[in-house]
Amino acid sequence: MGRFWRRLYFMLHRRRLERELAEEMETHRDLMPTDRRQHFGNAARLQEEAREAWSWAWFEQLSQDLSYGIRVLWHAPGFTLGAVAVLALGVGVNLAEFQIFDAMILHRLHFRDASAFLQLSHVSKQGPRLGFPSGAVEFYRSESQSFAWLVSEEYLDIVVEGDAGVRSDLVSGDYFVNLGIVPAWGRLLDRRDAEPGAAAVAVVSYPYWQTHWGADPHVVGRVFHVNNQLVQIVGVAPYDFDGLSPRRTDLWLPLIVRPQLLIGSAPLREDFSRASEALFGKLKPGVSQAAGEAELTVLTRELARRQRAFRDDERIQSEFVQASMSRTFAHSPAIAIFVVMVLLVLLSACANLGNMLLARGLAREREIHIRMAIGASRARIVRQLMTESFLLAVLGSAAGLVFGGVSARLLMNALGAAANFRPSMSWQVVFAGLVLTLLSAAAFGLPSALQTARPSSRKVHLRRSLVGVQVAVSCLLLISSGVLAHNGVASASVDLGFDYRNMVVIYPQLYAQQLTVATARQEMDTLSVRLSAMPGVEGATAAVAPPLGGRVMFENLPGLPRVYRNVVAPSYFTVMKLPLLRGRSFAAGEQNVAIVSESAARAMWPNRDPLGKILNLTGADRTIVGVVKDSGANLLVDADSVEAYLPIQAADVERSALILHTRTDPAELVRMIPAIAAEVKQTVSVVLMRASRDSFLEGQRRMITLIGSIGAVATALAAAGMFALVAFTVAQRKRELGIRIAIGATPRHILGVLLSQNGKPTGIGIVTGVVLAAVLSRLVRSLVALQKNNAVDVIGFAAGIAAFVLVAALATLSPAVRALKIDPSATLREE
Amino acid sequence: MLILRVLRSGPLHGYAIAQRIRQLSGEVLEAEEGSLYPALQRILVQGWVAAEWGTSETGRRVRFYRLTPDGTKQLKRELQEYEQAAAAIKAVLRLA
Repeated sequence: MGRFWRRLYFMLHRRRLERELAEEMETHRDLMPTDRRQHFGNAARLQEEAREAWSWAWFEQLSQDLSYGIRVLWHAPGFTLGAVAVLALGVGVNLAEFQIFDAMILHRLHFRDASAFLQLSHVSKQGPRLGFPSGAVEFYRSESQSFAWLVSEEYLDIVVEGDAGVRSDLVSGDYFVNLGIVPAWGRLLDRRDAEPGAAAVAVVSYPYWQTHWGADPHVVGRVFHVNNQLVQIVGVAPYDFDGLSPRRTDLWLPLIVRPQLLIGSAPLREDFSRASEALFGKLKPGVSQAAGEAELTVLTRELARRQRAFRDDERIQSEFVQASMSRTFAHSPAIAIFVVMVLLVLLSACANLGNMLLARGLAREREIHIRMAIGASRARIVRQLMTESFLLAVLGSAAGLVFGGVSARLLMNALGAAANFRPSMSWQVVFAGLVLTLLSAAAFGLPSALQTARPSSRKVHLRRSLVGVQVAVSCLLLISSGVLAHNGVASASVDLGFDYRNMVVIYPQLYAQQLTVATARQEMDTLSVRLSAMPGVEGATAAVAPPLGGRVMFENLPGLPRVYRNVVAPSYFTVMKLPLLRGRSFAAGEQNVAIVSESAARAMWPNRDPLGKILNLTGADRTIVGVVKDSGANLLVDADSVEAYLPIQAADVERSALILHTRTDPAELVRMIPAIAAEVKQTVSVVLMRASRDSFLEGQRRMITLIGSIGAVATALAAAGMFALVAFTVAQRKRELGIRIAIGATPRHILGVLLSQNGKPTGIGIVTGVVLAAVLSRLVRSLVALQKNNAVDVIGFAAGIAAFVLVAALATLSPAVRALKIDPSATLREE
Repeated sequence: MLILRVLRSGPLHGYAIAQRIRQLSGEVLEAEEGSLYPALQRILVQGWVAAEWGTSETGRRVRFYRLTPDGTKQLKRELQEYEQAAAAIKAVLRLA
């Protein structure tokens, strides 16, 4: 008979064996001489030890602890609900965040073999570029042997039925087929649509179909105007497809229609004028990434000999699409801040839970003392308390999963995320949730349990420090929310100074055509003259970095705020309505001069006349000839910004953009500009300045939504924490308070007693929170643009602290009132 | 080990085991006598002793514990280990 079977036998015959053991021990004591009986030991404890020897004692104890724990929690519903709610909040926020990450990175590309997709780029001495000219893409496609397929997409702003700013992707004919996409309605694009002479057709995205076409299935077959060309809709893309590039797409059109939409562009095969197509591919089985890159590099060198579109030293590089996506995402500073805040919420929840457990331990002091008196060891008590903590953790993680799922969905909606960013409850999410709760229960249940099981009651220190941590974290979160929200409001109300509503930016991209300096200048002048002649145009100017655009040039000079540099035409200041405060504007053809903004002048030459001073910028000494007002556009992005302007030179022309100021709504012009540009054989992209501003503020709004939601959770936690704290104090000191009232304490006195108990740690917590918030906001400033110049945003801080105090006061109210209503005689009779 | 040694000479009941250990050790080992029972339960589970109810010399119903072949082997092993350890300690003490 093996050991296992003996154990099992003992388990099964436990009752009889216990009886027999007791009888045996009884006999033994009887046989002992009376004077030696005390040498026998504690019979109950010895029996328990013996029982442990027989069986899987830990298992028995666990089931005992569990059933006891369940009973204890059941009989204290207030405590149980509170603790579960606190855990659910802390864990739920983390889960929601995890789900959003999961949706955005891990599962953004949910089509077959998504992990094998490569994005290609070409690298030269000038750095890597993602855009390929159409001619090259067609050449690779016909010549390459190592790729199973190569598809490309090109971003294009189009006008649909007069609606400007519709985002479209021009894609190769086999794009959808190779990605394995199945249409929601109708059909998707295929090879026939990419054949020369095919009718122009389009596929609409699911969200665009819903918002602009009322989700009407009869949309298939409809004909509409895209850039004044007739295009037929053949289908609707599936709900979760949004292209390969991380941006929203409303419409897909075959690349072959580009010459129709953009008058003047050459047929694909011959078009090397602009490097605009993003190229993706999948290698044939057995072909290495290096071999694929090498083959395309050889093809590219061959093209470089024939075409000027590539340089001789060009190499092809490839990167897995998923890898590059998660990299861009992880580098976003906003995400870093978000992660830190979310972890702080968890910390606050944990401190909260620890405090509740500790207070609960105090309330159970009698019970625990009795158990220890009848022979329970300290380890045994700790194990019992930890079992209860883990029960709470399991309940909390279940509630957290539900809360996390709901809040992820709400957040995604609030963020206006694209349809294919959908949060899903995967096993990773569930697992992460369980691990988080178990860890937090262990981290904060254990110290409390150890303290509770300590016979001498020195629980004050741990409890005070937990109160301190909780208050500090809540304060930090509320202040951060306050600062960031205030910042968002401030940037929405920044006065841009110029008439951004009526401004259009035109990017001619002459640099892509590799023109000589003289030709470029000529082309630009022609274009400028033609566009200025349009009806309603009030003024035109040129700049290399148009305001609110994607181009920013700045320089970090020692001891100065970041200097935003721009290269502008002499008319820039007039058109942008930037008044000259001192000196003059540039003269035509002038070199080695500069104009600075008033804040730059103040920072560089405080209390001195900036005119005539020398500033070294881009490697040349420049004389300051004028001072202008600060540009609102840079203030929006960076409140500390100072600016310097250099005169435009002949060599800058090919890189510069045209800025038009109109008398009326420029939306109509957006449709006309490409056609006019086409007349002089130019292809341009046109951007409304107000659209750039809106999308910038939209990003800010999302950030505020996120931060605000975390702030809300932090508030809820702070409230729960303060409530629990005071409620337990009242419960614990009921007798004492009763006696105080009986001997004539006033309500003010009672409140004083209640508040002073936690007063000191709360005070320390608030101070720590404020200091941490100040440090954090310094860090944040280096990551995102804040509107206020001073390091400590007083209004934001005040709002955060006020919110905390208000919440704390409200949470304290109901238990405090209960304390005042204590009936002394009833309380004293109770014991 | 002591229990196993005491049982080598024949089956005994609990009180007798305690008495024997006390006598043999010359009243030096005077731990809680009750702790004998958890120890007995542990070696019962190990299978080194077997138990059986019977009647004592004074006519009381008692449980007799008897060494099993496994128990004999275990005792031999433990004695050997003990002697080795004791010899080592002795050697160290002599040299030091």
